[in-house]
Amino acid sequence: MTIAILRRKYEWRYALYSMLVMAIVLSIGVLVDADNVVWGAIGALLSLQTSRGTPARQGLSTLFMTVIAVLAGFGLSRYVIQLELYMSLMLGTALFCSVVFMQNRLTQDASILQWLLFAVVIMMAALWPATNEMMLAQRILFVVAGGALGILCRLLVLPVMPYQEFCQGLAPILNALIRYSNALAVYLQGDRSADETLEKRLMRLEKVLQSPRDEYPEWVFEAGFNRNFRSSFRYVLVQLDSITDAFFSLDYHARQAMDAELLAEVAPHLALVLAKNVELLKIIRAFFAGESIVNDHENFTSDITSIQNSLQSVLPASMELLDVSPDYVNITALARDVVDIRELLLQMIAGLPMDDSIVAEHE
Amino acid sequence: MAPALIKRICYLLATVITVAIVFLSSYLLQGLWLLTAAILLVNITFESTLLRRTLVILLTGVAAAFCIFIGTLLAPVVPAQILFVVLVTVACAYAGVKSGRARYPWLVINLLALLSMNGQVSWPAALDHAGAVLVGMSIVLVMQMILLPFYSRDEYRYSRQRVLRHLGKLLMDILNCLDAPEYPDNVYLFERRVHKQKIKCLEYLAILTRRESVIASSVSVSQDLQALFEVIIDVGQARRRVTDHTIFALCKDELDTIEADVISLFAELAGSNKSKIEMLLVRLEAHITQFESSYENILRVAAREPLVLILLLGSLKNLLQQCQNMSGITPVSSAEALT
Repeated sequence: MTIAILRRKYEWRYALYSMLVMAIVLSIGVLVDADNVVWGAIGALLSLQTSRGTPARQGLSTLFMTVIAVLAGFGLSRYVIQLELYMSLMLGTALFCSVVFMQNRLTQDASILQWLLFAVVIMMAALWPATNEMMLAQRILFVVAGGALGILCRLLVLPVMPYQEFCQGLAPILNALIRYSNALAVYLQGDRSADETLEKRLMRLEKVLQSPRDEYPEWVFEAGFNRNFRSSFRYVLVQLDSITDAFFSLDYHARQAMDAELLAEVAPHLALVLAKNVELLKIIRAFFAGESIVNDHENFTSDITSIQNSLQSVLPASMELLDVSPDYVNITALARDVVDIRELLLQMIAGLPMDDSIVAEHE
Repeated sequence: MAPALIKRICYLLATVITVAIVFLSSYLLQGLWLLTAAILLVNITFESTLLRRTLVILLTGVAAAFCIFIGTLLAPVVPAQILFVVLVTVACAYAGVKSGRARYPWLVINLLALLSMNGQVSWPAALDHAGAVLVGMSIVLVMQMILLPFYSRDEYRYSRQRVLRHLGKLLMDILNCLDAPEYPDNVYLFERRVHKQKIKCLEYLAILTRRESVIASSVSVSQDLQALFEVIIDVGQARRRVTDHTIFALCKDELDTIEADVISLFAELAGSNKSKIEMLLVRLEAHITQFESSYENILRVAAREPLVLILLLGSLKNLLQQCQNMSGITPVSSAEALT
């Protein structure tokens, strides 16, 4: 059960890696060479600062940067004799790296942190100087050993299972889309008091996309990500991206002031399509959650026909006359967005390796 | 360079210089703890108010100093010291992943706590090291109080500029999907570019909303920008709706001029030059009208899905409308502009 929790909860697993790596590095390091153990611990800690997509690649790159920083720190302390120049070089590097870090920290890219840590390690190595080449070699050895242990531990002890992580990562965005879709259906049917709920749910959707807690599996796009999973995972994310785009567009059109009669005519049909879209989103969510999919023989085409019919009844017969009123264009765009979402969802379901009978039913 | 950015750099520079002076004058022996702590703490600037930022720096600095102090004191009992450092690492790793954006302060505590494994064992050493960290933290605190007192207000303007700049880039990437002949063969590449830009826009929008709530602005710029973001995404819907992308080759010039106009307009919207904004709005309207006439004369006949182009045109008009709403300017007429 503990292992099941560790597999499910990334934060616990990450804490476990950190504990194991640090305990091993410090215990062995103290026995081997107590003076340099801190370098092993630094190497291990920095190599753990990676995302879950490509821990080995990122860890190696961090390790390489750390070794370069230790060498640079040694070079500073050894060859720059003038104290002012030594300080200026060290702090100048720190300042430059801080500016880069500060300007780009929002990109959620682990490599940005490397800039700052690079400067900090140079500073540590320069202010805690190795007195000779032998000591430098020992430091580097410790850094490499600590870093390598960190990377190995992430790869071998309860390693990231890309499929499971990916499926878990999709749940928040799918839930956010379902909740937003439900709120929009209420809003479109004239309940303007649902405006606040709609706003909140849109914010939630945006927040999930920004991935403050790695909720959205952006890591599948990292260079070097597992080749076996890469194309299928990316396909799913690109499809989801298209769906969220359609929702953003829908949100804009839904909030525009529109002729009430026109909207009243089309809104029930739009709400119906949205409700069925929610059903499809739930099927996708169930698939990724590994739950059984209920095949309730829903018809996913009749509602589209009904919305087209209702549009024909309220819009001018000729397409050229659509731009007579902005309301006509707006309602057409609104309907087009929900239909687009339907198409994208069906495409996505067709691409999932699920029971053929269900896919055929939906198509 | 934006004033907020200059202020940020000044803050970093002033902190680094002050720390260097303190180091050279009285902390030569504790330089590692003083400088490392100061450089790590000076980069905590993401909180929205002076009070919150001060609290985060204070808590991080005090926690780090405490860990260094206890870690150094435990040095004679090696297993206890190892256990302590491991526990700190576990706590920081867990809290860092759990708290998402606030991961950095936890890493700072963890990294500084590791420095207690330096081999020095004495009560004065523990006090000196922890003291140096606290001095570094105090310098950072004082500097940000002096140099970034109106952080939210300055950053609010800067965030607005950044949102507009990234919205411009987003539109550029989206229009590039429409008129680049390589798009159908490289959908993934183009879509990835759009996605990245979209996320940046959302992130800067979220920051702007937070800052707006802090400065209690009566004008809801973030909502206008949110609508602008949605309109731009709406413009991009055309790329998925058309089956034949070559249709955009027929209106590439019009789309390019619209793109250039919008980018210039967004750059100006961040400022306050009303006459320039008005001129750009007029120009944008004129070019949208040009696109409309191109639709009437050529695209309507040539396109497989003329409805998609009508919707695209509608989105561009909405974009213009949104820009007009934001600037509070309604240009006289596009016909005048054309003449």
